[in-house]
Amino acid sequence: MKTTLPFRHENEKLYLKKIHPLVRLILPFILVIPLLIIEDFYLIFTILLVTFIFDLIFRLNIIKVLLRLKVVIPFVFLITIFIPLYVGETLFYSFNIGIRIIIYKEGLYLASLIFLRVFGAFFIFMSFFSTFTYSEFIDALTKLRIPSVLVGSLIIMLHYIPILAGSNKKILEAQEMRGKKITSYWQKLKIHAYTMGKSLVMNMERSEKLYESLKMRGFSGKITFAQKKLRITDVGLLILFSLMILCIIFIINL
Amino acid sequence: MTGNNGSGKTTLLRLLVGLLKPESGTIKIFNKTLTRDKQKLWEIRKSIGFLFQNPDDQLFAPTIEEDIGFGARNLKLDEEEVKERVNWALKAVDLLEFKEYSPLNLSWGQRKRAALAGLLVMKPKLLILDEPFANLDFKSIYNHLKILEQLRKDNDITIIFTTHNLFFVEHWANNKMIFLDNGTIVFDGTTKEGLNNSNVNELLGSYDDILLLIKKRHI
Repeated sequence: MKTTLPFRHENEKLYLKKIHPLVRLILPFILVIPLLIIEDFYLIFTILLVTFIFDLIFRLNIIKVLLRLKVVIPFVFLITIFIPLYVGETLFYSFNIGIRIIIYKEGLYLASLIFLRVFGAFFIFMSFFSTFTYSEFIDALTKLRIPSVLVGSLIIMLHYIPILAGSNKKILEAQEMRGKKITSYWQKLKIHAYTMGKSLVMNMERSEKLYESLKMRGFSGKITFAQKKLRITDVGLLILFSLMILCIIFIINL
Repeated sequence: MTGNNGSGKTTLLRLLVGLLKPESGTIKIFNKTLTRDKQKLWEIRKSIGFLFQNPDDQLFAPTIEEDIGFGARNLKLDEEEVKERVNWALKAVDLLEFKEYSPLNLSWGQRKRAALAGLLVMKPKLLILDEPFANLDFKSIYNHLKILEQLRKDNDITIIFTTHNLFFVEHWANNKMIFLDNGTIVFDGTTKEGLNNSNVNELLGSYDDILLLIKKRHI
């Protein structure tokens, strides 16, 4: 079964493998936090450029990252498209389609800024998340001292997403094989809604069995795994990266 | 343990491990009566490995290694011992090279073996396997049989498994066989005797008849 989660396969080569997963989880936040605060376009582009160079240096699969982003783009576009019509006072452009549409300069600036920020944040997170295997991601969360109840639930949820997606796909395929013509996205959505009840029952049965199997192996409410140790070089790398970003912000603001 | 679909094989297995409560009577395993007391039940379950029909009902951890180690960690063993046992179990089911893999990236047969390793790591005295050969190709079934035989020889483990595949029942010719029909034991004896039993043949279809049918089709 193909994993649909945004994690890399254990077999994929990665030059960042030696860096602790926790560091790889914190690094995108160091980039995204200034990205969401600053209003300077040059600085935003610089941070995105740094991420892009980072991807190239460590040979991350940029095409894969961008392909994953295409799902987010329409959503971000929808949020920002109406802002230039309502925000601002300075006229940028106007046209008539029965009613007069006015695009304001300040609104356009704000919409571009929001678009770049959100798109940039997704790009940075996706770039770094693509370096994780599923196990490394869980390891990083555990190291962050997130309560084991939450991590445990997340583990089970993440594990079952591809399995459930797979079984739902099979239901659709079975219907297609029996002559159901799925021509549009809307139709597909309707069939998903019909099969939701069946999926719900199946999932409840599965979760019950999973609980039973955990109980058989001594589950008492806490899931514990072995953890990788954080080395001094990992902490050093984190500090170095933070300093680098601060320097970039300082130089551009000069 | 064999019988047709819906004959009660899985129900009986679930009763044996205390996942279901009997409506009447008691169940004794290792001379201890199964109770609802969680602590007492866990003391018994420590020595029993129960394999579910679908490995996805058991495997949940991010990697095979972590999933297999789950039971051992719950036995409160030290980390060194856990690692040792995990490696041993992985070797026993021939999955050592896949230990860092996510269960999602393994084939069905490999997932079944990984689920089995998750039980072996607890060093059980009794292995209860629900349809261990279901949905496997012949080669995988052969590998499974070899693994189970080896485990039985090396570790003195008792194995109870359900199947309705007579070809594999024959592999265990001198072992005990129970045939269930509609929740009742209709045959209890050796596998060899069972395959020639008129009751079993009538309910399941004669083994010879099925073989003959397959041979005819191939010719």
